[in-house]
Amino acid sequence: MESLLNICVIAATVFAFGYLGFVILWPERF
Amino acid sequence: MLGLSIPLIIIGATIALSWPLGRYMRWAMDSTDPSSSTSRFDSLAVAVLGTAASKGQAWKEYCISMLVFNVFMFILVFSILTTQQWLPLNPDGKEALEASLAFNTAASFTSNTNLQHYSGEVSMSYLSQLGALMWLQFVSAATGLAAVTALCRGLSGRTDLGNFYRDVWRATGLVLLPLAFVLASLLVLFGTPMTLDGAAVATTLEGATQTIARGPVAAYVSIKQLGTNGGGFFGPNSTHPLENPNFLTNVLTNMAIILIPMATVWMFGWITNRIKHAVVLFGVMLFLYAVFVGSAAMLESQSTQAFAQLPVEADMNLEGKELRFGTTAGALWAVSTTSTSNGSVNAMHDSLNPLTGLLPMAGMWLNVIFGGVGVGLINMFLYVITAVFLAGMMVGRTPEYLGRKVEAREMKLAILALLAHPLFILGGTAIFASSSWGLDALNNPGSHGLSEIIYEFSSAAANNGSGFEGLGDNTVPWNIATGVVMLLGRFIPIIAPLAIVGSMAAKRATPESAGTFRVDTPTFGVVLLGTVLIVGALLFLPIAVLGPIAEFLTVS
Repeated sequence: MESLLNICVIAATVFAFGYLGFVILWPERF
Repeated sequence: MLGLSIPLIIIGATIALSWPLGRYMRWAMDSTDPSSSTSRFDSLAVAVLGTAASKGQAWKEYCISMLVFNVFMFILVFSILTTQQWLPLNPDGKEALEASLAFNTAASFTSNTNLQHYSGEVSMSYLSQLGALMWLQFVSAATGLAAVTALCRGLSGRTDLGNFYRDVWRATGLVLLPLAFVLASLLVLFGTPMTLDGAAVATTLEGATQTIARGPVAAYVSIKQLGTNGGGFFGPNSTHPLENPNFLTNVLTNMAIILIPMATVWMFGWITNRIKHAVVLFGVMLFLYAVFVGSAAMLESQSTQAFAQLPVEADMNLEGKELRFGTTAGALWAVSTTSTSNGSVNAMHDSLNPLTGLLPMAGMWLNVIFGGVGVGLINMFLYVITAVFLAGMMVGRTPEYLGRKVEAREMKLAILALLAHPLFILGGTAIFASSSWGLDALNNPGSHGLSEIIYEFSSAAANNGSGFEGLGDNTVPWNIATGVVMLLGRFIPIIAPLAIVGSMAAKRATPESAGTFRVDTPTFGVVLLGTVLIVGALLFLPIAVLGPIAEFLTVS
């Protein structure tokens, strides 16, 4: 259960910052 | 009598202070004289960070630097929160935070939100409070100030938006630290604790032993308010008698909430050399702020329905108020803290009369009534661009703003950034209101329960951080969902406007002529106000009807 929680947290972090990186690189496609 | 004299004095004094502070911030953030003392201060940054802090950046490089810096800060703070039991400055032996709570807290403080799903005095070591959270309160506010400075440079026609690291350095060292030092000293003078000793143990008059949490509160509170952060040292935030001990500390901290957001508008006018335009923007913000404060004071002057069946005589809503601050202090603070992206509270927002509760939500939905440090003006810029475009279309001219054409690319980015805000709030509310994630966390049934969910997502998306409370929000779904919303809600409305000014600055300047739509007139102020209300507020009308308005009609 705890490892599933850690995976969720890492996935949320990667998604949020990864998406922001995408917005910077291709601002019109966000 | 609504008791508006104290709010008027607080607002008037803050406006008076904001003008010289705006001049100072213009000097501190955008001094171009190589012999000035800001340049000597910059050389310290170059000595620490190398050439990364010296070369000019176009909008994309600026945004990448901002993102890299904030990712690094996020990881650093997440690491401290999850290992605090092994780290120093932990006299009361606090344990590590659970992973999703640490994620939410790191996202919350990185994004200048300070939404707290924990209680500071219960969960945080002094190192976490000072080295992680207070540190982020400085640098997240500095990130906002840096971003708005870059926006101003772009709008004055420069393709070189400055250097992100240098701007954060200047914002922290020349603006936030000196102001925080002055405010913290005054707070200590008026009775706010400042100590690194652990909790005090006292014996009560009845002979019982009581443990009283304390700590470096004054330092924390000063940047909490000045940086529009809002995260309290103690769980009850500024209602706590050691975080906000008396009338004087309440007045000072309320002024601190709106001071820098007001001064930022003047800084914008000085950097772009369009002070009349800044006066119009300031006027629109002040008008909305005054309407909200007046309405909140009036609505809270009516007694709460919760007392209707009780043998209690009250001619105003006294539930959840700290009367040591004065009768209208709760209403003024509730509006101030949600108009800006501050989020600290000195009264229980859950106890506000239903229609008063709508006002803090509306402040967060609009997010432009002075707004957070830096980002409030950036958000208003999106509405300005939209208003200019609409006015241009109406008169049949290609819209221009500050000598640059506003075309399809700029409008596409502005509208996408504006629509992201309601998407996060309404989308999040819809998912949680229709699933056990949200319903299991509610403490109230019906429309008030829905208001609690709406408020939580509004607070996260607007990077506010206040809560309606009554919501059991320290669960994995709430922590992850609001954490992601806070990060996206913070940086998308910074990146998109910088992309817009980068695009505009690269265009050839269009000389102003008799047919140019002027943005420094009262007419433009009215157009802008209409745009803010129609584009910003109308999207939220259905949810307002289902939440606070339905509750008002039910209890009446």
